[in-house]
Amino acid sequence: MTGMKKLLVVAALALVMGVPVAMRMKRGGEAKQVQVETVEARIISPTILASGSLTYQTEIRIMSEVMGRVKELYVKEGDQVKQGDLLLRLDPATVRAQVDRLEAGLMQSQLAIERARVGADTAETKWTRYQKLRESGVIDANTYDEVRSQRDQSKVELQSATQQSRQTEASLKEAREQLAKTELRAPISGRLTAVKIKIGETAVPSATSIAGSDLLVIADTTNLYAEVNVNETDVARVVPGQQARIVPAAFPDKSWQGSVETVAVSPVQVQGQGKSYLVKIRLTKSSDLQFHTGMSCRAEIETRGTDATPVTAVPVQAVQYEDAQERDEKAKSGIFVMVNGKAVKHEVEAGIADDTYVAISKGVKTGEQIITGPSKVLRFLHDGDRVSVVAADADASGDKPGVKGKDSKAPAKTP
Amino acid sequence: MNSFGVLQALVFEPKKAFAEIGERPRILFPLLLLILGTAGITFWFYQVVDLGWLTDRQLHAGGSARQMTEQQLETVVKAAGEHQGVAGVITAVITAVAIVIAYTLFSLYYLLAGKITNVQRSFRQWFALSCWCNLPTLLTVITSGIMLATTTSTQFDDAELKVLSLNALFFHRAFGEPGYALLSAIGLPELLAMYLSVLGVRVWSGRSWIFSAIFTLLPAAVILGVVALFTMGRS
Repeated sequence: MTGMKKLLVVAALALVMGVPVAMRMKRGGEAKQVQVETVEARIISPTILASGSLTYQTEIRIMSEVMGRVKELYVKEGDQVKQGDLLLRLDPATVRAQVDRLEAGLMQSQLAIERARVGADTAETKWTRYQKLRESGVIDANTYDEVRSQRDQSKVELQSATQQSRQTEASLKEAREQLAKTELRAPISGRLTAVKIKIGETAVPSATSIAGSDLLVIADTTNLYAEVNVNETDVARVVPGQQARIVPAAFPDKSWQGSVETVAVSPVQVQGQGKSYLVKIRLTKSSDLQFHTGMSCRAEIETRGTDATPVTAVPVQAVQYEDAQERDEKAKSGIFVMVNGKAVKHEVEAGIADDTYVAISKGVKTGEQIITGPSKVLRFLHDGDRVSVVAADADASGDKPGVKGKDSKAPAKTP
Repeated sequence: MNSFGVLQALVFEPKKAFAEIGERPRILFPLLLLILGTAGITFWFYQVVDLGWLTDRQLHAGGSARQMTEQQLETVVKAAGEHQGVAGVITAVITAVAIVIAYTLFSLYYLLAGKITNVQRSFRQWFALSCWCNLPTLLTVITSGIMLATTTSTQFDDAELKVLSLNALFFHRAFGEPGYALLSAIGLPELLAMYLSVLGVRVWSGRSWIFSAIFTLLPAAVILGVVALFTMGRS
């Protein structure tokens, strides 16, 4: 092969290698597609999270004061009742028989009084007559004493019969009260939230919750509440009047608005957990949501003061945190600001935050454009990287700069 | 003719080079060039690339990320970034071993196919042919080296460094698109290596171009066919 031919081969090889390399170098790295947001002053609303359950303002457990089999039940769970409405009736046969027996006993006592009174009157008359005879000396002292004794005895018998009658009368009154207690009536107007007894079952009077003692639960549904346990480290920031959002477990996409009504003074200690304080939140009624007492719920209590002022804030996902290298060193926070098509990293001081925004006290100014996503691009972004703005709905996946993706979860915000 | 003479002849007078390789099959020189070049560029790549980013990208592309929690993914990505140097060494060593194994398998195939088709050469000769014919792949090493030396970004995969690949030159498939890996793996250097192999077999066998092409490219065709079927099946 001649020298010229060799030169041509070398030149061809150099061309084949050089042109693609030169083209790639000229094109450079493609700009990463990012979402940006303009920094603004905002009011930050920090929240405290707590969990608990839904409840009514007043709930009364109705128990029977007499033992008896349920004969009639007039209500079912969920019924609205008014104060005094008859709810259930226990079988009154036993108590009624007792009343009948005592009524008969009372009548018998009254007859016994009459009998004693007649006897007493007779003895009194006899004694009066014998007293005159004794004064005139017709009868001896023994006979007179015997008649006088009979008079005194008949008086005592009358008193005894009277007392016996009063005793029977008291027993009768008690039995009648027992009879009245076989009918259970609503102590307040409200809704029956639980009916725990059925017809044929036996109601048992008890101060403790044993089977058959709780018959019904009636609740005042005028006001709805959420009772949540706030951790002791947060409770100092909770005061009555603060607004809260209550999310029931069954409807995670819906919520009630409410306001804190009371904060417990004494803590509740759950074994294995820290201390917490019961906070009662009064709910604003909503026709969209069905209230189920006892249902678990989550509360987000806004602890923002009424005098809160707007501060420089950025979306929480825009802030990147770096662990401290040494023990005494503070963790670093940074955000990327878009300057002339490049990502420029700014070290910032982050302050309070709510679910969406975090206050920045140092490192960024209002009006600057900061990079907020997509998260995958943001995670691997470096200071000085070339970037271009992409609309949120045409979100980049971050797999390859310049390739549009489908699965970014970054918020849809562009200036 | 010394090794550099064979290398020069391979570029300008390949037939003469194959005759020389047939007579004196030198293995160490081309094999060392290939191992050092490929393993070296692999190690360098791992020193430059953002390995956390690359791991995240590969996990998402392979679908493994879907089976992991965000925290697990974060841990894996962080660990990859922290062990970049070790990963570079391990991958470079694996690359070197893989090169030796691949050429050994190709040489065994040539030996077997040669016995069947009456192209009588020793294993050493076939191994030498495999090594020498694959020297054009060092062009990829050179261009990749230039790219690594001049890049300002750290977020790219090894396929993006291969500016002589069919994908970079003609197809421009994006990462994750069907054929991306296959078209990035084959480029002008690989085609040149195939041409040299075919030519070498033709010189040694004295047979036609068609025979030499089938003899040489059959394993590559089978491998590429399987990869293509696998790729199509996935897409």
